[in-house]
Amino acid sequence: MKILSVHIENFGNISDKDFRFGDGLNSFERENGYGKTTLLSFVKAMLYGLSSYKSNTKEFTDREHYFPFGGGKFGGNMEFTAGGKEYRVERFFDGKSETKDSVKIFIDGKETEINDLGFHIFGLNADDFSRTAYIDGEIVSSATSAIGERIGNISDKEQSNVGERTLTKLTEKIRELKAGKGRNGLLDKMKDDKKKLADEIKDLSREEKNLGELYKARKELEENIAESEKLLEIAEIEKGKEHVRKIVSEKKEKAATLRKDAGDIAAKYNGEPPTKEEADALAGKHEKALNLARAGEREKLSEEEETEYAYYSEKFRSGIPQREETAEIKRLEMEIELAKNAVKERGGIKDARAEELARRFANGLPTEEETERISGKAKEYKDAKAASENYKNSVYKSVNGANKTLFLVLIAVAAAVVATGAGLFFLNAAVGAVAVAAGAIGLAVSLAFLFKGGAAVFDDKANIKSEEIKREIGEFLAGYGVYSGEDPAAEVGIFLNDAKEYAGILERTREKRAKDEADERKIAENGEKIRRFLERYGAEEGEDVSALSEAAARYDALLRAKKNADARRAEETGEAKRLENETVAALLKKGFTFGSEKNVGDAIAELKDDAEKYASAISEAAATEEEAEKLEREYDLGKTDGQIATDYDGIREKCAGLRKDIAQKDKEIEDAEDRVARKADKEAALASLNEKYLEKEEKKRIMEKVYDLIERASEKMREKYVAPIRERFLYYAEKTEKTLGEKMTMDKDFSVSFERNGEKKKEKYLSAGQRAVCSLCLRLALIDKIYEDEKPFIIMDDPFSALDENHMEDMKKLLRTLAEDRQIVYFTCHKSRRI
Amino acid sequence: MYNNVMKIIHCADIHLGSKMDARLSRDKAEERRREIRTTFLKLIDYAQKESVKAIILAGDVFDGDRPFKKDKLFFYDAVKNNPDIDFFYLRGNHDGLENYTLEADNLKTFGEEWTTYGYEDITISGIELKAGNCNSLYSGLSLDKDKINIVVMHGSQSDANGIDKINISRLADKHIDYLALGHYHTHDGFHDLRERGKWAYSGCLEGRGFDETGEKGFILLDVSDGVKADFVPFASRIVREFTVDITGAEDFYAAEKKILDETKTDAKNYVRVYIAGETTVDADDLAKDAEKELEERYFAASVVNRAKEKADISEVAKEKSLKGEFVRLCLEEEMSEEDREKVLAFGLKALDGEWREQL
Repeated sequence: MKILSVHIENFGNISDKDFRFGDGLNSFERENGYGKTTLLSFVKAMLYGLSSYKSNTKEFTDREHYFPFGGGKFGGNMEFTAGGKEYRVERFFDGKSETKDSVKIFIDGKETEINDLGFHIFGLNADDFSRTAYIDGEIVSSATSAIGERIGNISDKEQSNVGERTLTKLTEKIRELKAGKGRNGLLDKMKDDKKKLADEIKDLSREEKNLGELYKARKELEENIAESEKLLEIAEIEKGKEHVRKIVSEKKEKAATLRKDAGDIAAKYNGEPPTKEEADALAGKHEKALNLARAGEREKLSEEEETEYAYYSEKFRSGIPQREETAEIKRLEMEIELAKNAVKERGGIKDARAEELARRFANGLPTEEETERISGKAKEYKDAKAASENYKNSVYKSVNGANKTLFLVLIAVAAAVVATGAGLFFLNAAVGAVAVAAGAIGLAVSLAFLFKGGAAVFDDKANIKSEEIKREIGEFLAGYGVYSGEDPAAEVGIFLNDAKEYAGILERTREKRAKDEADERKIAENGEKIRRFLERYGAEEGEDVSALSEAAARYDALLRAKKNADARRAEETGEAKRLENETVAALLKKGFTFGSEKNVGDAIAELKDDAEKYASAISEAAATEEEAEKLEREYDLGKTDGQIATDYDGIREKCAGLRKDIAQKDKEIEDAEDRVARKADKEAALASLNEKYLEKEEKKRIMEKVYDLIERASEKMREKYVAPIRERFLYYAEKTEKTLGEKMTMDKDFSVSFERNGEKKKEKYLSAGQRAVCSLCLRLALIDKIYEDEKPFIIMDDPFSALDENHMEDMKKLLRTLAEDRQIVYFTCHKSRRI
Repeated sequence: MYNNVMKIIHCADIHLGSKMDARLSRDKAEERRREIRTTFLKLIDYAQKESVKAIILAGDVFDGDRPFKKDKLFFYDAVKNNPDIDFFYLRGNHDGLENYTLEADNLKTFGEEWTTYGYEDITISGIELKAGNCNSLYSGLSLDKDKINIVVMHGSQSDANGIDKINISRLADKHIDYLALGHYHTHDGFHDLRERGKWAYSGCLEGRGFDETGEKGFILLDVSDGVKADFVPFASRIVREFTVDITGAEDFYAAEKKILDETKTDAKNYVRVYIAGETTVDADDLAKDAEKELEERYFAASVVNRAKEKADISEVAKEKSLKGEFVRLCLEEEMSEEDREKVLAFGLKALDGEWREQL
């Protein structure tokens, strides 16, 4: 691999800088602080990118380290060749996150999707790359360290390599958990702690169990107190027994007195004292009898009713109308009503028309002959009239026609001449007069000819006849006062129709009159029947059938009420008497006598009073006796005083002692509970410890497995890489033997040594310059073997500052030789070491 | 048609005097113990306000076999001071040994034989499961089919008989209208009995550890024509569970922020967070940091790492290096995949010199 160019946009303290590199050795002499390390880091960053910022670690990442001091776009580009291809990588970095970086990689000018460029080229990660391709002043340690890091060798106790370091650390960590000897390991300590906790829990469990005994003991104490308190209670009772006995005695005495009072009452009734129920029954019966008697007295009509009853008795002394009668009278009234309505509905036929016709035919209707004759006249008139019309039409027809126009023209001309003459008369009287005269003559002649036909009217005979018939008809109709002379034939028709109509009116009037007469007869007959009915039952003036019926109904109701009241009175007074007799009989049986001072009510009151007194005395005596017996039983009065403990003070003292014991027991319980309560915490702690213990045990198991695998991996790595690298190291050592001045060897575990005076010495005894050369040999050997396909460029950061001039010259030669087949970028800060 | 209407509370597993999750500090554990007592008193206040006639305690009112006197006294005081409420106390699998006991008129207890209490048309029956009755108890239960029957038991729902087991199928045709169960600390709904009625676990009143997640409370029964049951969430704090997938979180900071952002609940609650996904950040360390941060924000926090380490093992295996050799050997070695994952993760970090988080 060969770097062609580098452009740094901004990276650390470098901004906008370009570097170009050629084949073979590229030697730069630059002062310290120029930025050689930054350039290497940039190259590495172009190949591998920069890891993200980590907030949780103290690690100062390259991303933070090289964030541009002056700001600006963070990154740049690099061009290089590898595997015969040209690469260009452009990377710009975010301040914190890798995922926000922008990367473009071109191979032979085409953009590709490669993300892990460094690994893609070398098959190495970023750290491995920097350990091998970058060679600085700390050449010895970094070189051997790099080898170690790569293959995990255990070469030297002082030299740190990953395999040994990891295994050592693992051993240390495993021993921290489980010491090789004794019980100092964490797991043993945890086990001890667990046991301690378990023991404590066991003790507390025992104490918890013991709590049961404490609760039991407390319960027993409570029972003892209850027992003593009972004793005390009994003792207190005993103390008061005397007092109770006195009370019992008084009660018994009182009961005896009560029983004596009751006996006196019983003796009064011959040993059969009245019971309260008995007395109440008799009192009730007496009360009922009195009530019934009073009620019987009240059973009658009221004063108003009595007056009413007397009135109706008189009114209906001959009886009250029967229902059938009343119904018949009602029917008659109905008929009268119907007849009156019928007459009213029919009403009078007289109306304006009828009256007009009656006036016209006041002298009677025309006879049949008259009717026939006048009808014939009307016909004759019509015929004569028609004949006259025909004649007139024929005459007018001859006058009219062609000549008529001529005559009308002549009349017009003559009239015009007259008019003209009249006009001329004012101009010339003579001419005017002549013209007027001539015109007048012409006008007269024309008119005479025109009216020649009209003269024929006087020759119309049919017309003359019709005029005669008209006169006859007129005379006839005038007799009835109806002739107008307009149209005789039509008037005859109207007259005959009127006569017919009037004849009909006359017929209907006759029929109505007959019906009215029948209805009026019924009204009169029924009215008479009703009048007789009312008269029979003494109806007063204005009293109709309905009023009479109502009076009859009322009288009937009064009759029934009176009858019922009489019946009830008889029954109630009878029952009252019976009850009173029974009451008196019972009282007599009880020994009561009735004189002028004592009535039944007094006797009953006395009986009741005795019954109550007797019952009360018996009941109170029984209750008092029961109380006395109860007290005797309750206080066990039958026992002698000596049988019950009377050591009240002793018992009280015992109770107080027991209460103290309970308080003490409660305190014990409380303390024990407080202790046992900690068991939960201990159990929780033990559970937590167990969890941690298992976790640690698991860690130990995993670490042991990891140890085993790393150990085996290291062994394999040695087998695979040590021999070839040793071979290449010896090759380079031989090449630099002159510079080193020693014959270098390397054993199977990479331990570098040299022989001096027949004695094998470790690398640490070399001078600084020798160690730098030795380290270079190791690095070159490593590069030869680690980078199989693509040899990297080598960046040297003034690695030979410790070499003297002669040896430096040898190294220059060596580097030039090496640069023949690889690119070396060599930086130095001193011209003596410039190549 | 039934004559009486009655409200009943079914609760269980109160565990008065209980020990708390080992991860809680001593002070917080004590605070939780106090809260359990307070919640029990609040339950009684609720019962008073809602005119509840009976509170069924379906076992494990106390935590140990020998409850402390102070816890029992607390319980008895609560019972005695509420004489208008009947407390049906079934002992469950605790409170079995000699301890401080008192009696109260309104404290109804059960034994190894079926005991039935009646309220006109409503009955409440219960039995405490023991080795001697765990097989015979089913045939011994006889209930009036015309009444509303509530049965109380404590044990694990099962299809078989046994100590601490409740064979639900054998209770199906016993005219039970509601089977009030205790033992499981989570209410998982109402389940039908075959013939009629339902069965349910009320769950505990307050969760005590990070594994007791979700709502906790009791069941309110409204008994009239039948039994209407509703779960009432009541706990003062609950455990909220979150799974946060940190795949794609660029770095430790982003992953922790994601956990904190996605863990949102009431500050009074517990939080249990499972970290999931694949990541390159050290998830064990992340879990510890996130847990510490969440403990500042919530009553208590537990963060469990279940994330997988994102490592391109196949690429490392190609390396000609000690790491490559180690990985190759590890992949060839006979061991469980879980062990292989652990060994690879540990070994690679060890070879990189990263020990801090590992030990």
